[in-house]
Amino acid sequence: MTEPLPPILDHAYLRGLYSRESSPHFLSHLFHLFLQHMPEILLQVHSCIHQGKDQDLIKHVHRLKGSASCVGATHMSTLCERFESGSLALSDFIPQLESSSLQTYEAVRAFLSKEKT
Amino acid sequence: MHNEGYVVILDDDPLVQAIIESATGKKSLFFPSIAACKANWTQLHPFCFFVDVHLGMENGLDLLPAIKVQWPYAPIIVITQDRNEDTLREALARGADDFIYKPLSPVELLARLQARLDSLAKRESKEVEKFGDLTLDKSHRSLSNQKETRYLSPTEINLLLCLLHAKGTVVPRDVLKKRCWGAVYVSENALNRKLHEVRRTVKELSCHVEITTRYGMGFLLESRHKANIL
Repeated sequence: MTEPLPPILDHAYLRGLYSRESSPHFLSHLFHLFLQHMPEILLQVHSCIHQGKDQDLIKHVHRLKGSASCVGATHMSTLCERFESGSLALSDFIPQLESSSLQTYEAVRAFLSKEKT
Repeated sequence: MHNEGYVVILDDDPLVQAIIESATGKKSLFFPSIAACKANWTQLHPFCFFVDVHLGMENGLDLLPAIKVQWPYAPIIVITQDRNEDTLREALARGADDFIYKPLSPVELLARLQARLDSLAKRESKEVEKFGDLTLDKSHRSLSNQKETRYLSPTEINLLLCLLHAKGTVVPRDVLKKRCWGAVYVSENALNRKLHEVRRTVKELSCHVEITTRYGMGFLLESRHKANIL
């Protein structure tokens, strides 16, 4: 039986990213980078699916997994990992990834707006 | 220890750069591909490398042997999400000093980097000897000044070490032969040829250090900055 997916954002991991020397805006910077980076990779993922480029698709999903894991977006990175390992079919992966990316986007925006106030 | 220079990152994910800079407190040079890194090769001045395995269609491990030859005492830490043991074995075989998995933990990253810097600095202090303005690296059989490096043969490096360890005293011909060739018979000509090569290399790299002949006695390595001879 497949294990349930982890939460959208791993707050314990995010707390661990701070070191004593970290800039107070470090996490905002990291999330901004992620929000800049994620749409481009998602676009490439979709483009590979439409063009049937399976090898490239795996590479882009791998990149997405890496970026997501760097910001504690564990739900998204776990989906990517399951697709990479073959335990999640493409037909299931895509709708779940779309939903996960929207939820991640919202969670990150909420985090950033909370930090602003 | 090389505490100056850049952290060099070979990764296609800019988030990795942000985390490494925050963890180490140092500015980095970031390259998303092997070609981009090679294009800036001579300007790198690295004190350590973080290298991702999967770089789009490239394998970051392909660059490891070249890094190790050029900067033997700069630690190479491989970053990956791939927990495959074959990848780990391949990385270590190609010259990686350590491994760190994504998601990156800043505490682990810094601890691993400091441990590797420490062990390489200890190794460097054993394998590198300085005299005058020259640096002799035994493990890489190289002799260098601030700008250039020359590679020597095993016999040539042994000759130089023999003279260096005599600390400015005269080393007789037969002692040089025994130390460098052991029990093998060596003609005067062969010794002269090797000494000529070493002398020429030293002269090309330094105007302070030279190998002097004391006729009828032997040879000595001299520096105008005698205090610098270790």
